Amino acid sequence: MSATTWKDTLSSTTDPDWVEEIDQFEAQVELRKQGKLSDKAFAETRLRRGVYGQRYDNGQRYDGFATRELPFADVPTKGPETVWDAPGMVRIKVPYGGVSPEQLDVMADVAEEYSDEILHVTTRQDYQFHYVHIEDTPDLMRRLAAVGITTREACGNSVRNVTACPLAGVCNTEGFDVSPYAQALMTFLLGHPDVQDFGRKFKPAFSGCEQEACGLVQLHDAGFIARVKDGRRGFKVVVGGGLGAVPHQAHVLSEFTPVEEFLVEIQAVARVFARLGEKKNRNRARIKFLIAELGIEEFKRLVVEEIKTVPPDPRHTAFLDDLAVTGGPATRPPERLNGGAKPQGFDEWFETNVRAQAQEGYSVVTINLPLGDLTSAQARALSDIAREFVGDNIRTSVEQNMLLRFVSEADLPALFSALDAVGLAIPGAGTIVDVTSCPGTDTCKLGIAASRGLAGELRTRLATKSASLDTAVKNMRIKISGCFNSCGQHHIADIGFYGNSRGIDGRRVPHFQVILGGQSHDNAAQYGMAMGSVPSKAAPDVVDALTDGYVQGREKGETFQQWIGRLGKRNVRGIIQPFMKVPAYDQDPSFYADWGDAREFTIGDLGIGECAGEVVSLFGIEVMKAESQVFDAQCSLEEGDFESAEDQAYRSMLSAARALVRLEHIDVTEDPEDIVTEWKTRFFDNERFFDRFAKGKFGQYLLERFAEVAPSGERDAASRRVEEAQLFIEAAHGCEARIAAEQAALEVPTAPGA
Amino acid sequence: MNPIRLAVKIPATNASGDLAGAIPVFHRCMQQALLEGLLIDVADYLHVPNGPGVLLVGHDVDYSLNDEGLTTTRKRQGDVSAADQLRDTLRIALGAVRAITDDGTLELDFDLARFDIIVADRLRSANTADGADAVLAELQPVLDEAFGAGATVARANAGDERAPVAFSVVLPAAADLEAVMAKLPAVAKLRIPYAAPQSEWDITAEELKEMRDSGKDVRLIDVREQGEFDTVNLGGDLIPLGTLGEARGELDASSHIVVHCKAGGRGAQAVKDLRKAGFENAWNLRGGILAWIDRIDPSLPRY
Ligand code: SF4
Repeated sequence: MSATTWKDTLSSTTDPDWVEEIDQFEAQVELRKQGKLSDKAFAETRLRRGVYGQRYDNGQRYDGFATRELPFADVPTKGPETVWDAPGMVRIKVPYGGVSPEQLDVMADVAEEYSDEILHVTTRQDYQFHYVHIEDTPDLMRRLAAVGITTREACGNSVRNVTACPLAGVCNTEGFDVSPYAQALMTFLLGHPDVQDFGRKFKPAFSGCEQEACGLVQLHDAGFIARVKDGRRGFKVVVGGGLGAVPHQAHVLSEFTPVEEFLVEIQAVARVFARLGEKKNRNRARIKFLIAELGIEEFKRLVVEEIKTVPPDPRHTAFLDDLAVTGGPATRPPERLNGGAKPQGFDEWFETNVRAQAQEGYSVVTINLPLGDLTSAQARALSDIAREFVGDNIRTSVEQNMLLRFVSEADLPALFSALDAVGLAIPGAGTIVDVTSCPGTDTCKLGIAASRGLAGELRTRLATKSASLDTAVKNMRIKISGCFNSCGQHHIADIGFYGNSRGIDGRRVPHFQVILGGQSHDNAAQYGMAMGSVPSKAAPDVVDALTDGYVQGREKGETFQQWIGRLGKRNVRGIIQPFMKVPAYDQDPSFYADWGDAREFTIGDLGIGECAGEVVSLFGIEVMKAESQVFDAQCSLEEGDFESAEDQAYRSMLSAARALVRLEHIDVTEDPEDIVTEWKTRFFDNERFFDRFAKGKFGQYLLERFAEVAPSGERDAASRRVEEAQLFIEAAHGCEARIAAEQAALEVPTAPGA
Repeated sequence: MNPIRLAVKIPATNASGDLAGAIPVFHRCMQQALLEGLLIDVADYLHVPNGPGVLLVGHDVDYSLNDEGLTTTRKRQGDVSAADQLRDTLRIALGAVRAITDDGTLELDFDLARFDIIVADRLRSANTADGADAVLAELQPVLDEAFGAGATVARANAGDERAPVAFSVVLPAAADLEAVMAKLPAVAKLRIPYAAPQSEWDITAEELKEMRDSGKDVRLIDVREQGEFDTVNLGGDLIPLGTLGEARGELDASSHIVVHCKAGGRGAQAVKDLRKAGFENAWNLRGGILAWIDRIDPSLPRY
């Protein structure tokens, strides 16, 4: 084959707009290399193209002994702190997670040539490739574009990937198939001038029905739930939901918006958000903050007003004449599963991974991808399987799995065997074994603990005893995030975890905060609450203790959440308490390393060494008080005593702030005025309290409460304040860790040999 | 042809045991700079069936160990020919086999009588009979050079045009690791992260140079093997690591000693032993002689 380029090879067969965009991007890569484009401008461009930074891309990595410089070539950076040469992550947006076999083949190719041969499915139905070098990204984009996949605007302050229930069109409970509408919204908003001026990202989601979890509509910026009224199709529209550090439940914008009007309405929402939304402080720029500030009634009024000013646009309704049939028709005739021979393992797989479709004779098959990972070779095999059995009907799910739809039931045994041959027939989809996790410390720059490491460990442990698990336990869900940012959606799991760290005897120990009582049904209508932090290595035992406690203590028909609710936070805490203790380093050093990692743990990869144990333990004792106050706040919240909850939350922040102040000024009083003043001058104003990424966000929580102490007495505000207090305490721990690191650095012996 | 990726896969037997043990092994390899390449992180993919297992991700080379064996993938080659890439990748892969075997904590045996070559570059090489022949024509001379005429090469992945071009190579007998490596001099040099501390008593190549230039009374001890010493040396006294215990009695425990090996791993061990035995002024050259060659005297041969 003659040596040519992907550009020459593919340009004639690719959408010319896309070609132009990729050409531009390639030119910008070149300009940046020559130093003719600023850091910031380039970072913006690359994020708009779905090209992200990845852990260690600042060239610093703790190797277990010390922080080491990764000697990447010293060319310009890709953005602040992101070294040019360091590999990064590419995210591709696929509307509602649908791909064709042809697209899957190309994804396998690019993963093999530019990444690590792994296609990773995220908790947002996107695909990610890791360890990709910036110079390879234009070719990667060209090859994907040639089969109709764009990486454009998968990130940045614009409309993100539209998610929809992966069962849309085949589900038994749906109002109607939402996917063509999701597609229409995507086409309409992509690149629309009204969505370019957002202060922050905007994520829409669709769901075919209210009661199921699939679309997780409640936790998106805008959610559309299918409704049929008097024979007309429309949506219940909700806005302002979101997980993030402080979760918000979405508010109802309209109980019924006919499909003819939903694009105008969302355009109006976009315009209001672009006009009034916060632009400077990105921590408060999501639409949920605007709605919290204005109140939903005022927001509704603004949207109604705005609709009148939206210029008429034929595209608002044109899509209705040509509603795409998503995923194409079935490739095989519907036939019932007959009594023929079943391969070994079929029954177990059938029970958890196969569900009947709305269409007679067809089933949906779930491919249980461990931690969302699929190899290039598996992807090629899967595309062959899809071609044979289902055609284009492939989807991803928020559980990081893949789905094959329109499988003729008679084909199930053959399909099982074909999947099994390439390791893709793992049973247990949608059960407790099917743990989901964000990337965490493996690749995410913000990760604190190894969420994937813990998820892998839990999968292995639970799979070995899966056969003996109680059915109700089997149906539970575990979700893990590597930090409070909740990309792993830990708020909506039966058992959720998010990573944090604690200082013990001058060392850092990876921990996970245990979150219980969340639910994912009813489109995630209830968020879980923090119960306390346990060391990473004890987290699997906590899962055992909770599930055992549930099996033994439940009443007839009681769900896990109901059981947690009946027990109350204090009793539940009693179950977790014994696991909170960290053995001394010389008794069990394994607690001081994370799952799947051989290095001694460090936070933020800053490199923490020995430090004055005395200082740490003083802080440790003081901050315990804050932890127990915030826990009390949660209990009050649960008991419906919102005023006390707010008050206790505030006091817990004061205690944490005081713990920090006492490191330097032991005589600080208990007077809030005194504490806040000292804390502000010593830690906040000089930015020592600031997180590298969240900056002063968490410190602001205390200042806001200090400025306005009066409790609101409302459930939403109270639960938000309790969350905020929790985060403030985390930030205090982080601040203390940085101080300890600085001290350790001062004590490093001078270079030998001199 | 200059493919963007070329990999060599060396089979291992027994590897199905506890592969999680490969995680600390790879971390050690990074800490002590025992493997070639600018290494970035260890990724655990053991949960993926038929997956890469444990992956040591680098900037210019990846190493992955699963129950089939060790795959060494050279990447970001720019303008290096397929033949030169194979020459390099074979050497690097054999070096990795040696490092993992020396580490000794994994119970696996590498089978050096066969290996696979995988060329993943769909722009430049189609996985058709003709495409594969064209690639093989470029690679064959390297195989002859390294293994003589006895190697049999068969095309692999022939059943699926989408898969990368690949070959299985079978040798008449297990290859002699050191001998083959010696025949494959480095072509496109990989960067080694010399900044990694290897012991508590490291000095850098620059510091050693300064000491020598300033005429300080420093005793340089080379703990490598005779063959390595003959290939290239810094004029130190040769005391292979294995014999250091006996030779120690003849050394002055109060003298200023700098120990070096090839890349710093053995040197670190030697210094640890010496310090334990009461040598209070013994130091390890971080990154070994390779660091010296790369940073002080590039005219010396790299091996
Ligand atoms: S939750 Fe935290 S660690 Fe996980 S992906 Fe999000 S930011 Fe990264």
